[in-house]
Amino acid sequence: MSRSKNDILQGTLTLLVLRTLAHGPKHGYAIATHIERVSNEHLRVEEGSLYPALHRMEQEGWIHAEWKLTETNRRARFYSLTPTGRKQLHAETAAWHRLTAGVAAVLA
Amino acid sequence: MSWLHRLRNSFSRSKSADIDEELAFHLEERRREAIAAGMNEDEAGRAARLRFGSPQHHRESTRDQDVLLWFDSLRRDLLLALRALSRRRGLAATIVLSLGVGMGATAAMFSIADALLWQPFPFADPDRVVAIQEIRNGQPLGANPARFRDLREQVPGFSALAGIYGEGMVLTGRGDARRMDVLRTLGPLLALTGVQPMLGRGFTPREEDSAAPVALLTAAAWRKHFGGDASILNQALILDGKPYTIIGVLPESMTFPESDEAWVPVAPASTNRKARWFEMFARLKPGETRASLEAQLATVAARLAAQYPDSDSGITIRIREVASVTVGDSRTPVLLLLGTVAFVLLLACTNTAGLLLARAAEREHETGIRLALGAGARSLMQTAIVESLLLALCGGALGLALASLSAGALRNLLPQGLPRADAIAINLRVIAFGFLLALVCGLASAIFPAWQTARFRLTHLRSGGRATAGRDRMRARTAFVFGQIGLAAMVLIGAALFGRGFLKLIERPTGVRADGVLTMRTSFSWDTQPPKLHGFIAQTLDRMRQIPGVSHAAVTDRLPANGGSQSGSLAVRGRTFDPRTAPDDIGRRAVSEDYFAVMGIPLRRGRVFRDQLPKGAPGEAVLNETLARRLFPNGEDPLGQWISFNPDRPGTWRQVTGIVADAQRSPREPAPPAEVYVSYSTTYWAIPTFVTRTSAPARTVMEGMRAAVRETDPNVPLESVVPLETGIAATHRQPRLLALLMAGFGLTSLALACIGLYGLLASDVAARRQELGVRLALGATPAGVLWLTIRRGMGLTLAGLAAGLLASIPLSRWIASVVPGLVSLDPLVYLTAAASLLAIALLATYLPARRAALVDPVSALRRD
Repeated sequence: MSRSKNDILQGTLTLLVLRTLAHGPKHGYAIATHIERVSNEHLRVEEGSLYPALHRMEQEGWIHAEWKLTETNRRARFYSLTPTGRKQLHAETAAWHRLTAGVAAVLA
Repeated sequence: MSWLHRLRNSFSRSKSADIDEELAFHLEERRREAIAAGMNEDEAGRAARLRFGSPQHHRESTRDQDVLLWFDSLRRDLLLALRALSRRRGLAATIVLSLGVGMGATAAMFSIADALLWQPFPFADPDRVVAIQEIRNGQPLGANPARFRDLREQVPGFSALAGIYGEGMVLTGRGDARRMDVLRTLGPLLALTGVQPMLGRGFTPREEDSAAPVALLTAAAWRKHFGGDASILNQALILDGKPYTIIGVLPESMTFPESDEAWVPVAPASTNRKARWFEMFARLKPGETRASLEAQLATVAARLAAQYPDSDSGITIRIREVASVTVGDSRTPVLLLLGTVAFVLLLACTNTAGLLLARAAEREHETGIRLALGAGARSLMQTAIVESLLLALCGGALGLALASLSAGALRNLLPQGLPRADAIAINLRVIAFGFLLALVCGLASAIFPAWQTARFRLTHLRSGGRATAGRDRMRARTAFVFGQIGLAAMVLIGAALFGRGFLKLIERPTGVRADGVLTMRTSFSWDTQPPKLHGFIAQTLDRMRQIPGVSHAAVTDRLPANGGSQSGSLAVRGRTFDPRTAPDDIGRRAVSEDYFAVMGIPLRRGRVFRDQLPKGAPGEAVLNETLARRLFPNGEDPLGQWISFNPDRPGTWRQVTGIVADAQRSPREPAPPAEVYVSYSTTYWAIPTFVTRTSAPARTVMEGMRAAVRETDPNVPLESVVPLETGIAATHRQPRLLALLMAGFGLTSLALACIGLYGLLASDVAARRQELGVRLALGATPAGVLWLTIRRGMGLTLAGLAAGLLASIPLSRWIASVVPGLVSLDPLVYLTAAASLLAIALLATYLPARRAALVDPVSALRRD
């Protein structure tokens, strides 16, 4: 199995998940497809990283999980952003901008 | 908030099921999407699964993120371990037993060390209380009242300085007269401890400094002898004929310094700077450190040495732990035992690690399957560690049970009069220690086997890999067994060292014929008039001589072989005498003239002194052979020479009338000391001990001796009559206990090491069954195969033994330097240890070797 698409950088996944959930609650599969779609399929979310990350973030208190029904009436675990998670999103977004600006400056 | 949430989660439905369902949902969504994109059902499912990867792996790594899920998997691992171990009961029992014995011994020793040395004393802020010890020429000195006053005034860092010593006082007016163990206190002892009486009040500073006739009862004495009655306050306690007002009762917790019955203040009034007899303790002022206090003490010591060069020069003042002063010379043996037991525990852990490795080998198949299903290294390690911890906790529980069973026996074996020995028990501290020990042992024994498991790769399942893994494990187990034999050799040598020391001790001639000698101590108050005391002694001796079966009766200040003696310097007439340089180790014994007949000490020359001297006749003295040789080495005749303890005073000169054989003073002394005997009637000692030589049954004579005292003076407290042999045996208690415990540890280590050796060889033979079959089929003889295994086992034993012996040499040298009466490089010790280890190892080797020799080539080759 070839990996032509970019695997997400370690640590960035948290930021992407937080940003994705800022629009409203989603289940894991929806989070993964959302990131892939919005990134024009440039990014690819591995299940093996996604679910551990979601559970870790839940432990940190950034997101909250509950079992709800989907539009197709199937039980799924929906994640939503907590106030702490919103603060974390702002902090990580700022950090990301600093990082990319720095990297861009070095590459220029 | 969030932890509450987590807690609720953990009690709701299983988290694993949650994760399973969540992942299943994901997989299903992906499949539906594929179908929507036009794939057929089968293709969609396959594609989804392919994209998804190993569900087992995702499940485990997701679960690892969750602290609570960890408990979930812990429960699962625990069940797994229980099930697995119930299938291997023999192995589990061996591990639990060896860990249990190791931890039990450690917990028992810890309980002793903790009670004697480490439990804080029942003081407020116990860290701030220290013992103050004066030292001259490396020898600790008793404290002196004049210096006590100087220190109190001149050392700014003390918030309280107090002194104590024990005194037996005669209690009358409450039933039969009896001896009461009184703690005499100098200075503010109660303020130093920071403890308040539970009833009444403490001494006031005035009472402390003026030695007012007041007394505090200890809680134990108050309950035992005064019925726990609160109305005892302000009543009088008649001690040595004088009334002391009981002003309070100390709290139950006050077990310092040991089991006294009452505290009575005494004033540090004496101006004699040479008499030294009590112990000093101090509380540090807030903000003061031990270092700053040591500096102050050094300054004061130097100042006093300059001020009083005759008496105070050469004295250094040190700060010591309170326990090190109260426990005295039991400290070293206790710490040694604790060190030894650590070796035994290490052995038990190595043994367990070896057995767990054997277990990991058995489990290889299961490990392979779990790995193939996507289990991570972490979860494999966790399973192994949980299993080991489970075993260790069972071992720890067994160990604590063993320790609590043995605590009572140990307490009885300990030398009597050891302070705080009553506190030896399996209390919460010991249980906490045992639990911690179990965790540490469990982890320590699991680390290597778990790491081995974690390194396991699927490729190992192919037979080539399996052989490699097996070889690694075998090599590790061989190293473990080598270490075990080395450790066992060291513990055995320690045991042999102490055993031999003890045998030498009891074989050492005491110089007295102890059988048939009965002893009885009586106490008078120290202000009894000499004529009254000596009259009592003479009358009592007359009565005792008439008891049927008593051939001789005598009195002595101290008993031989276990009672010690007073000692000092001695002047010989016609020689210059300087009290500052004269040797002051000459023992002085006050006895009556029949003492030598009672004790069976032969007269070598001359005659014994007379108790009743004709009027105007000079004093008389008897020397022992060692003293006679020492004073008159050049062939001068000792008989007729004049000696004195105090040549400056007239009328103190005594003429030597005879020489007697040497007798032991203390079992700790390798050779009898130089001693001089004088008549009891010419000295003053208020605690006379009566001794009789009897041929009648001890019981009737004992009653007769008590009756003799009672008839002479009913106000003299009666103490029990003790055979001299019992008294001597009591001084052997500590070395005997040491030797016994060390022997026990030695045997335990031997057993543990041999279990390890046996286990290793048994697995080896089992693993090489096929190879042995081939050898036998190709013409090897059973004897040759037997020899093959024996050579392997004994080679390993010899290597371990050699390493252990080498390591023991410096260790036993060190032990012999801190424990008196031991010889470090005694060949017999090494021989005994080596021989016992080799004999048992041969047995542990022979059993698997015989199994190897009995391998049936046909069936061995047919397998697989």
